[in-house]
Amino acid sequence: MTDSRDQGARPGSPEPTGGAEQPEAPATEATPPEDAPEASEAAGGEEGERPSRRRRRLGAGVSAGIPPVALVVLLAIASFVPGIAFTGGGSEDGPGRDLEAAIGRLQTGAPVLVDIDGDLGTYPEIRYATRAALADLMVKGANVAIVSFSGEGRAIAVAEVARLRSLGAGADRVLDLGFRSGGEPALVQLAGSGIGPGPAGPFADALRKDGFGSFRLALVIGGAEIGPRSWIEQVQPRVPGLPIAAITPSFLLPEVLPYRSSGQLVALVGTLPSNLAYGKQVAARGAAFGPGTFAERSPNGAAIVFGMLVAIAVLLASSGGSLAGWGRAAWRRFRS
Amino acid sequence: MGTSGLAAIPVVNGLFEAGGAGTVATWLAVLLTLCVWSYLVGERRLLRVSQLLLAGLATGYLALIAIREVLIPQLIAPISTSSAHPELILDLVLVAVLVVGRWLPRRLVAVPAAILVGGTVGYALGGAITGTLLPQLAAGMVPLASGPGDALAGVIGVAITVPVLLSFLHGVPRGRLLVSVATTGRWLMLGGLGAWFGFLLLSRLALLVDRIGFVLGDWLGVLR
Repeated sequence: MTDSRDQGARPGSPEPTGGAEQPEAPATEATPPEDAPEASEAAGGEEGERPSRRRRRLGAGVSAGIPPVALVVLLAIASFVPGIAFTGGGSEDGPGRDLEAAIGRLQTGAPVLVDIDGDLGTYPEIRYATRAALADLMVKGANVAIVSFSGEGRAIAVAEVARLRSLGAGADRVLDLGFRSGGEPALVQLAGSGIGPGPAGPFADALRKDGFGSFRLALVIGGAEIGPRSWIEQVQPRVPGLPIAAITPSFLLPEVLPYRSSGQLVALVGTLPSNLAYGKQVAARGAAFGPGTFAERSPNGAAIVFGMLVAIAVLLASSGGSLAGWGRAAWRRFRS
Repeated sequence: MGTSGLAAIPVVNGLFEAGGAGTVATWLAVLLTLCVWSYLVGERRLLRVSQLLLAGLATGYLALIAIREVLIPQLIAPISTSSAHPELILDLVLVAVLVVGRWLPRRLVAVPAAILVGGTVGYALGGAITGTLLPQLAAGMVPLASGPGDALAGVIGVAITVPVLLSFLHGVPRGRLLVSVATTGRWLMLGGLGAWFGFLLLSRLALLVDRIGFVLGDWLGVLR
């Protein structure tokens, strides 16, 4: 109300006589012109004009929605045109093949930087693919340096490093670069100044000597705080020769898929089917690493079906009643 | 150390090791999972306990990381062991002002806060331009010679991008055509948000599947 009075008392206002005694005058003034006859109708009559107005409103809404619907139809048609790949080829194993190829190009002993910055809440979705990628790197003979820029990512990284250590990977193969505070500025510092004096061992010494540019691949296990976008924006302009691959939860895909389309990411593994496909590809040829090291933890098919059924049941139980009520009301409106 | 050496080591699959500690951890995880799921049958107290436990543990863990891996090794230890980094004294003062900022004048606290926000925004903005905007613009300019499919995809991209950008023209005098295009852009943006929500739902469903697999597989041993 205070705002209305202020607006009404403003110099040059169309309602100079309104003042404090008629605070609602500007609001009345601001209403669309077609509402005024509607009010008179409600008070007096002309009920015959109501359906035509409703029809006019419906017509405006439909006309606004026609272009988007037409565009969706166009997209659907265009997706059948050869050469147009809206979803990166559409196959489930395509993203995994990209990551396999990126790791396959590495030479034995090549240093690889793995940024584990997943969220505690969403990491289970990509845990299988992450472990498959780490196994892939081990089988390939790459030396892995693991770093984190978020607190939650650090907790996950500690667990994964401990798991790799228990598999026999020493500090010469898996180097823990620890937690770097500061988010994106810390990312820039790592890209500019290298790993710093903290880490010890021959692998760390080699990295200090050769610099950040010696990494042959950066694998980003993304989360909401630090993910592939941060790497593309902060590291790629500074170290253009470093290929960046990523494993992200599904909810980040709309943000990072354009980077894969533009080639700024050499590989991007996202959805659960892609994770499963990639894990199977690695497990199929990763026997030397120890069968079952990660493959035994693959999401169970029965659990997936059961989980979907539970989800559908929960959705129906929570919103089914209101959906049914909305449908009934819409049907009644349509009938009347 | 080769890959054969790795193969010889006994396998630890999950985060929980075999043995007593692993059994206790598994039971604890199952118990907390059931506490969260109890919300489905209307039980809120157990869910509240789980939420508070998560919040408390996460906060404590982050505080521990900040003290052990940042403040002590990168600030306190260098200052106490050597006088070679006088600039760290200034850093310490800024951190101290932020920590006790609640009891200090607002203008004093504004200095480190402004440095913090300005630095973060500066990095983010610079990176967004050089890392996202310009490369994505370049990638969006698909030459027609690359094929009719790519050209059509480019046209569709433009047909989506332009209306969405125009929908942000607020307070500018607009004609009828521009209003129609902006309205279309708003609808398209809503469609995009819906698609994003779909991805979010997919992500959460994957987490539910993981939990069900954990309870039925690791705990009950039904789905192994």
